[in-house]
This record gives sequence, C-alpha cells and structure tokens, in this order.
Amino acid sequence: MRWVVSSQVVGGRAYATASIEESAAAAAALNEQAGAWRALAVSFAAAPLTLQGQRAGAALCPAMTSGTSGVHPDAGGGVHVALPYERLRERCEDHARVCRDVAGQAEHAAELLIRAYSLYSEAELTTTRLVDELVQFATAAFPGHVALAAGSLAVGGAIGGSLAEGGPNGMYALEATAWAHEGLMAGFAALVGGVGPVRGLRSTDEVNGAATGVARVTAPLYALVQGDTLTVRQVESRTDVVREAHSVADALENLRRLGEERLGKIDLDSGLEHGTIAIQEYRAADGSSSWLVTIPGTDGKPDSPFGWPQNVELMSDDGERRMHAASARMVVEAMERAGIGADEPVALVGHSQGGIVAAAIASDMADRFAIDHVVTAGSPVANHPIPDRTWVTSVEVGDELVAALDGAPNPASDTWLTVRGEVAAVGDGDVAPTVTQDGACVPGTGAGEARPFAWANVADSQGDKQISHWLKYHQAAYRHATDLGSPALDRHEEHFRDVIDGKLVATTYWQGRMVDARTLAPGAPPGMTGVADAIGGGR
Amino acid sequence: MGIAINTTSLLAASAGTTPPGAGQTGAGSQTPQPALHQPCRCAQAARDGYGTLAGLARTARSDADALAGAVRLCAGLDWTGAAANLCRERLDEIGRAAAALADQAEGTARIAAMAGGAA
Repeated sequence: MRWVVSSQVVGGRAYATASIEESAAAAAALNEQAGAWRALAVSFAAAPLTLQGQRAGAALCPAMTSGTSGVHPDAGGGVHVALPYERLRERCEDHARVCRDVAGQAEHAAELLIRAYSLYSEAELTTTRLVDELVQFATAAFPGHVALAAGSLAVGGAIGGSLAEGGPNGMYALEATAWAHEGLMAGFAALVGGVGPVRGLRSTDEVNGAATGVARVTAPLYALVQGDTLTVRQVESRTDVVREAHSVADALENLRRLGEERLGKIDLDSGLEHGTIAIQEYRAADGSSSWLVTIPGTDGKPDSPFGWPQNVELMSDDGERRMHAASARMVVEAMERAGIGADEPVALVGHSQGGIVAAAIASDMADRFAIDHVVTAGSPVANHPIPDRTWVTSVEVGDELVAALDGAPNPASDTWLTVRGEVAAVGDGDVAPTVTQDGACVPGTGAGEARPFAWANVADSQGDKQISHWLKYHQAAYRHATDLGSPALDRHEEHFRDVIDGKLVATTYWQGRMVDARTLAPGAPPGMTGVADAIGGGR
Repeated sequence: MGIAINTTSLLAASAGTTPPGAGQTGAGSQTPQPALHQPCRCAQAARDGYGTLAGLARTARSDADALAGAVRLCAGLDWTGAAANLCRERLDEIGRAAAALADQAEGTARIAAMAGGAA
C-alpha cells in the first residue's frame, strides 16, 4: 500500500468568464460522452444474450443446431440460416471493452478539467462553510452529545481502518472525522470564548478569540518554565540545507529539508539544531534585493521559541498577542538583523507553526516589511488579517487536523489561493506519472497509468497510514495541483517567482533560544532581546 | 373421400422447417402461423440478430461523432501543463479508438448480414 494525494484548488484570481464557460462546456460534453459510451458498452455486452434469445426461437433448425453459419438449402428445397453466433459474441465483447475504455478516459479527462479550472470550488466552499457552521452550532448548543458522537465516529474509524490495515492505527480516527474538524474546533472554541451558538453562526473566528483568552494564562506560565528572554544568533551550516529556490515547490522542498534536519529526521551533516530558520537574499539584474524566509514548524524542545504553547499565542485575534509569541519575535528579529529593508520584497514560507508565524508577520508587521507573498503548509491561518497586498498560497491536507484548527475554511480571493489535498491509499504498483525538470512526462504504472494525474504519490509513504501533517503530504498536494495545470495556481506561482526574482546572493541561518533572564550575564550581547518592546507588546 | 395431406409441409414442419415462401407473410413477420405451415424461425432470428447489431453500429457511429465534438472542445481550451498535454493526447487516442470501434461495429453487423441476416 502506498499513499497518494489528489488536490483541488480554491480561490486565486478569477478566470475570464469565457474561459470558465468553455471549460465547463467541455467538461460537461466529456461527461455526457462518458455516459453514452458506458451505455453503449452495456448494450454491446448484452448483445450476445439478445442474439441467443433470438436464436432460441429456432432451436430445432438443423442449421442452428449444427452451429454452422451461413445459408443452408435443405433436402426438401427449404433454406435455413444461422449466424456465426460465437464470432459475433467475441466481437461484441471486444466492442464492449473498447466502449468502457473510451467512457473511462472521457470521464477521467472531465474530472481533470474540473479540478484544473476549479469549476465547482465555489459551491464546495459554500457547502464546507455550511457544514462547519452547523457542526459548530450543534457543538456549542449540545456539547456533550456532539462530543459523544464525534468520539464514536473517531473510534469507529480507528477500528475500521486498523482492521483493514491489520494493526492498530489511530490515524484513521482523524480520517473518519476530517469533515467535522473545523466545525468541532469552532464549536468548542465558542464554548471557551463564551460565544453563543446563534452568534457563532455569524462569525468564523471563534478559535482566535478563545486563543487570546487561553494565551493570557498559558503564555506567562510557559515563560516561567522555559524562560522569558529570547536570544537569537546567526549560526553556520556545514552544508547547503536551504538551496536556491525559484518556485513554490523549491521553497517547500527547502522547508522540508530544514525542518527534518533540525528535528534529526534526516542527516545532512549541517550541524543545524532546533529553533533554526533560514533567510535568503536574492539580487535582481537591476541590483535590487528581495528575500525569502524559510520557517519550519513546531519542534517542541524545552528551550525553543518554536514550542507548543507559542501556537496558542499565534492564533490569537489580538495582533500584539500574536507578535508576542517567541517564534514570531525570533523571525522578526532575524529578518531585521539579516538586513531586510522596509521596501524590499519579502516572501515567507512556513510549515505548521512556521506558516502561522508567516501569516502573523504579514498581518501585523506590514509597516515594517514589504511582505509580498506568504506560502503556508498545514497552517490554520484562515482568520489572520493578512492585507490584500500580500498574496497567500496555502496548502492543506484534509485529515491532517492542524490546518483545521482555525475552525474555518481559508478565504477564497484573487490573492488567497488554497490547495486542498485529500489522502488516499493505492496499491504498491500504482505510481503516478512524474514531470521531469525539462518538462518531459515519465508515464506512471498501474492505476497511475490508467488514470494519469488523478493523484500524486507521497514520497516514502509505503506502508501504514501516517499522520498527513508531514510536509511531504503538502508537497504531494502542491505537485498534483501543479500537474493539473490550474491557471489560478500558475498565477500564484508566477507572482512568487517575481517576488524572489534574481540570483541567490546569500543564505543565512538563525537560531533562537529561550532563556531565563536571571541567567544572563550583565551586558549580554545583541540578540538577547525581543521585538515585543519595539512593537509595544512587552508583556 | 380421403383427406389430402401436403406431405412436404408436414415433414418440413416436423423438422421445424418449411419450403421457401410457404406460410411466410413477409420479412420480419411475427404473425403466428398454422402448425402445419410453421416457417422455420431461423431466418427471422438471423434478421433480428442483424437488426440488433446494425442498431448498435448506428449508435456507435453517432456516439463517435459526438465524442469527436467533445474532443474538439477540449482542444480549444487554454489549458496547459502536464495533465493537459497528456489529456489531449489521450482524448485524441480515444477519438480514434471510437471511430475505429464504429467501423468495427459496422463490420460486425456486416458479418451478420452476409450470413443471411439481411435476407
């Protein structure tokens, strides 16, 4: 068993009406033809039976019983006729097979077209919002009942999936409840935040409101545990962990390398540790600089600014609270010390907490940095007030849970595009086609050949179901959306490329640590500060 | 006075056959015939079989033409990328396969016709 992701693109710059109408007409025509050819396949498959029924009416005919086809005069001067029934049966079965193949290919082409042009994405987004609000209402109004129902669904999913897989695997609980994650989060957040069920129907940011209240308690407590002072220092890498990037896919790959290297999941011999981000400077032909900041997710180490409690602060609906999160302060400080100018274009790419940090900086530091593009992978950022000038490309996976912690689907606008991936299992021999650097297409195998580009394979995913929050799932989702040829995604990709136009000049790595202020020596070196004071949030 | 019996018809009837023209009321007739003049049903079965296959061949031709129209619609889109290229390639292939299928279906009907189904 291997795991694959199929994607849908929501949002992005609207297409020309003519283009939408043409693609919708083509998809409808292909679907209609798929139906017609499937019906014809059934007719051809049934034809031998029909012929046999007709033949049975002349069961005593000597020509029929002899099975010899052709016209046979009999001794009495009569003429008997028999069709070559066996040959006709074979031909009809062959025709039925061709018809089924034509129908399958037409249907597959229609499906790809619908996905590429996001033809039904608005309707699906509306449905998602409706389901979210209903689940939220039910959760806020009948929390006990909903908790019981959700728990039963999760347990049932886990048991069913585990039985099918042949071993216990709790990941199936997430899969079974994926459709309700956002609504449940919003509902329970409404309870925490004191938002009534009816009032909750008119808003989408219950989680962020609740996060503000929770962070008021957890942030000071966690500061007592891990220290209240942030230190940021530039560190050297022995190897090129984050390499030159000219596309979102490149940036996501760098993000994966840095994230996994600092967690020790891979060994690139870089010497980089937890709490590390990368900042790259690109220089265009005219001499101007642009920047790409790579921000991995939560590492959960005791002295890391990317701990678990920081997520709560980052989810707050209060800008000052968001920028008080150690991870956000660390990235801002690193950006300032790297020398990013106020009017120099910046692209931020982040996974999980890294994406929330990117969204928070775009929302709250717009007067300090020119954040032109944010790429988030598996980050709950639907309610962050990111200004319109910042393009957002979000990648989310259906059952990863983390991306649904915002309790709402992402906005769909010209500048905010979301690639939504759904995970599925295929056979070991089912490999999707791949596109090489020079654009050549390497055919897939098995189902990947029969239905090319129906999905993209997740790298190194053979075996049991894993948590789909790992970045390789988002990479597969983005790759599938790219392969589909979505014009909306192409525009976002082009915008991202324009932001970091030019040649890579330098890559610097920055490491953050949380320390207790009482342990710092008097006159500590620069970097052992926070930006909270600078933005007035020194709490 | 004896009863005149058409022995040829009787023998033929016992074998489920009848001389050409005897008891026939026209091609495709389903009208029940008197027992002694029952025509052999083989010719009718062949004609029905041919009719079935010829009908399917006509549908296949019509569907192939309609599919060609849908393929042309797709070819005119501004859709680009790996999936688009492969999709167009596959659609061209199934367009050709559909036209070939229509030819073959007509060939199948022709086989039935030549075996006497079109008589």
